[in-house]
Amino acid sequence: MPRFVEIIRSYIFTILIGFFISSCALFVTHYDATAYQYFTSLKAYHLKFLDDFTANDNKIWDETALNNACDTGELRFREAIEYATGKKDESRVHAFEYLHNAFKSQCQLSIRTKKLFSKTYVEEQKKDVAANYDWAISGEVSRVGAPIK
Amino acid sequence: MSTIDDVLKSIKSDVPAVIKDQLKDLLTSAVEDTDSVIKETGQKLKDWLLMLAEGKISNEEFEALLYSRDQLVRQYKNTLEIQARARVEKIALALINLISEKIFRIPFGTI
Repeated sequence: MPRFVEIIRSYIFTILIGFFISSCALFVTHYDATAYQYFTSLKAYHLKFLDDFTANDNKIWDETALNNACDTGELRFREAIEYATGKKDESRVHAFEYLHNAFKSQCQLSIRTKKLFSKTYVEEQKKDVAANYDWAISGEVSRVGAPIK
Repeated sequence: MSTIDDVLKSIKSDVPAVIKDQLKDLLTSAVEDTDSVIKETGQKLKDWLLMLAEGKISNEEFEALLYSRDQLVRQYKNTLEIQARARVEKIALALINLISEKIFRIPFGTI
């Protein structure tokens, strides 16, 4: 009888291993506190960038200031994407890329038009930029191992 | 609040009727969708088309808003995939651990 139990145990163990290995492809990498920090600090930088280059009575379009802000943002995004790439999970890399693409297009908009953003545009744009980051952050905190809220 | 017909009236007259009909169908299904992001996208596109027609935003700003929404929707889809896969992992691992360690006492963690 004990021999029979051993065989059953080995059999179940093999099935479990097979199940585990085959389901690994479905898995995502675990929560990463550094990635979370990149998302939140980039969000603050990106929203401030839009505020800083919004038209008001006292502001004039400054190409040098714009280029500096875009270059700084570019570096920060590249650092985050480089970090995410090292974590070997495409879903996290994509999350940073969707934010980076939006930032680049907003830089290009001001560079191309040589104008500050209009208030109406920024009002609309900031809602979508914030929501884009919120979805990215929501993805990070839904990973296994995220701190319980 | 603007209606879809207001939006269609605001679009240039040289746009073919077939395209306007397609736009009307898509906007109607989007704003009636149960998914909050799809619904919000339909509503925003409606508002932005009117803002563009009324000169409140420029062509370039309209294009930037569209592109930004495109990236947001891709982000949303990516997040849904992460959440679905993380859920599979949480349930599958909990199940494997329960069966291997608690029921059969297989030292799974040491492998």
